[in-house]
Amino acid sequence: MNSQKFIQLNRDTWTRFRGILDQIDKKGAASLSRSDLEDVGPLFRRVTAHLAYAQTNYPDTDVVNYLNQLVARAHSSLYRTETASVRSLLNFYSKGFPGLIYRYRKYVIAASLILALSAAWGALLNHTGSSLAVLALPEEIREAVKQNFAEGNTGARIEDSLKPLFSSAIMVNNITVSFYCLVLGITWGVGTVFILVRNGLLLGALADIFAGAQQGLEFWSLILPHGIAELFAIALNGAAGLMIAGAVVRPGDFTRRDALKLKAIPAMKISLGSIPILMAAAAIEGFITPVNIPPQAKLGFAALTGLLLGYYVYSGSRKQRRGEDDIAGPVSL
Amino acid sequence: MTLQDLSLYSSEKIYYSYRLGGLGSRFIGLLLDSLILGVAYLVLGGFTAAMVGVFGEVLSEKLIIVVVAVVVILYFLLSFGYFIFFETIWNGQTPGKKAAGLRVVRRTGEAVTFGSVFVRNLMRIVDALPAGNAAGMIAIFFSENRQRVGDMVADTIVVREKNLSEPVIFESFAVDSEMGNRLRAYLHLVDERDFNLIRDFFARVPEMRPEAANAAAEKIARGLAGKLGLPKGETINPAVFMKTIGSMYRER
Repeated sequence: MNSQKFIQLNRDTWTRFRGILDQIDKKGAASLSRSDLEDVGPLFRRVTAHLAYAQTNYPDTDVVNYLNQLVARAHSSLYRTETASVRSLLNFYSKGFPGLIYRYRKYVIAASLILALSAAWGALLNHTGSSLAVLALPEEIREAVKQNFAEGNTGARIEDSLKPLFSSAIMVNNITVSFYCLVLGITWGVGTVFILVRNGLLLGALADIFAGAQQGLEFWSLILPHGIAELFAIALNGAAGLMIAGAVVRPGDFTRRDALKLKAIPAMKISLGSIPILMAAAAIEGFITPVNIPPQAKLGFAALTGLLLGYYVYSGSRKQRRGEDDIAGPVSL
Repeated sequence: MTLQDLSLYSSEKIYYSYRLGGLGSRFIGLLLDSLILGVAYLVLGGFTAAMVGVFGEVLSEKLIIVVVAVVVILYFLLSFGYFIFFETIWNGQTPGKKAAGLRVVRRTGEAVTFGSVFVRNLMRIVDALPAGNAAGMIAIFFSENRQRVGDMVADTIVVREKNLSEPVIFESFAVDSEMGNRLRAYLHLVDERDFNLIRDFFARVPEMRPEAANAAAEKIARGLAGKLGLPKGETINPAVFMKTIGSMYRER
């Protein structure tokens, strides 16, 4: 059969298939009529067969290019590996996410250690009055804090009306920092560690200042209610960044590229999973932390958030040990 | 297959190829998307300014602050979410990519997933380093499959999606029967590539300037005559010669 007859014979099939693809592109697969839907699979296979035939018999001609373009287009819109749904999202947060945290706990612990050690370092720098203390806490903040102490003003009394703005600004800032934590893992982890250390230093130095001014209780009551969730989320994102860094620094049996692809999936999921935690932390910071209640009550609330998060991770570990492999979650790569 | 193609083996056991998007087309796509984002920022900024400026005295201060708080979140969603949103709902396309004829697909040829879209767009932070998207451009230029860093991590490629017109068929012409009889003996030497050339030529003639069409016809006819080993003189009228060969091949 020459290409002329081939085209004349099959043109209608291609036109119909192309029409269906156009409709999928414009209105989505759900808009297809029943007969179109039933035909799309067989049509696709027929067109691929035509392509194979044309590649053999009419190489380097328009027909091959046309059919190739049809098949390529169809392939990337018919073959899907996931469909996102509310249910899969719920499944991710109830099972997949805590399971992931447990599975990659080494990275979470490493990130937490970096945070904790740099906090201790910050406190030490500040305590010894080292000239390096400016690294931990810029001079302006130190002055502002001292001035507040002098005025007998210790708490973060946010005006009621300002609370929503405060909360949303904090949320946006924290999520941005988290994303940087994850993404900068690719700089062999330098960027991620830098962000973790800087946050740790700041926390440690501030804690030492408040402790020095006999305001330790007040300080922790201002930090911990939202801080536990926030620090947890930052440790998670640090862990995600370290996972990416691990793939680049020590790819093992894989090439760096393949190791990166493998690790990027769970790292990204951990980072995505931490967003709601950050949102909750920001809401607490804006609306609960500044409330005028005794510090002890706030610390109680902080303990409660700690317990909840602890149980959440623990539930993941239990599912892991029971061998429920629900890690996949909704967002596969 | 050229250097800019990626050939894949589909589940139907056939090879097909993608045309990869290069620096140029991707720059155009990004430029258009940046323009759209810029306009969106302007609208958002203008809206905020209007709220604060015009209604600042009418509305309570509390409400204004709520508005600003919402705007902060909207700005964040816009800057991080624009690409992720469109590439997810439009199967790997943003308005800019659509206009530039580009689409993101997974390197294995499947539709992108939310996860891969999320990763490749977060990685824009890295691709923008140290300034002016330098890292991304260098990566696209040197990588095998024209991938920027985000594409490598998410295992995606950006392909060009040109909507080719349907293959043309060769119109039937009245055959010069005398010439036809002389050429019949040589017809077995004509192959699909020659036929494709003739068909393509006649499909394009209406859009060509007459001189250019004549020159091209002469060139094609002479090449063909040389290949078939025809005596000189058969190609005195190239168009008729090609029509005759084409029509005879078509009926074969």
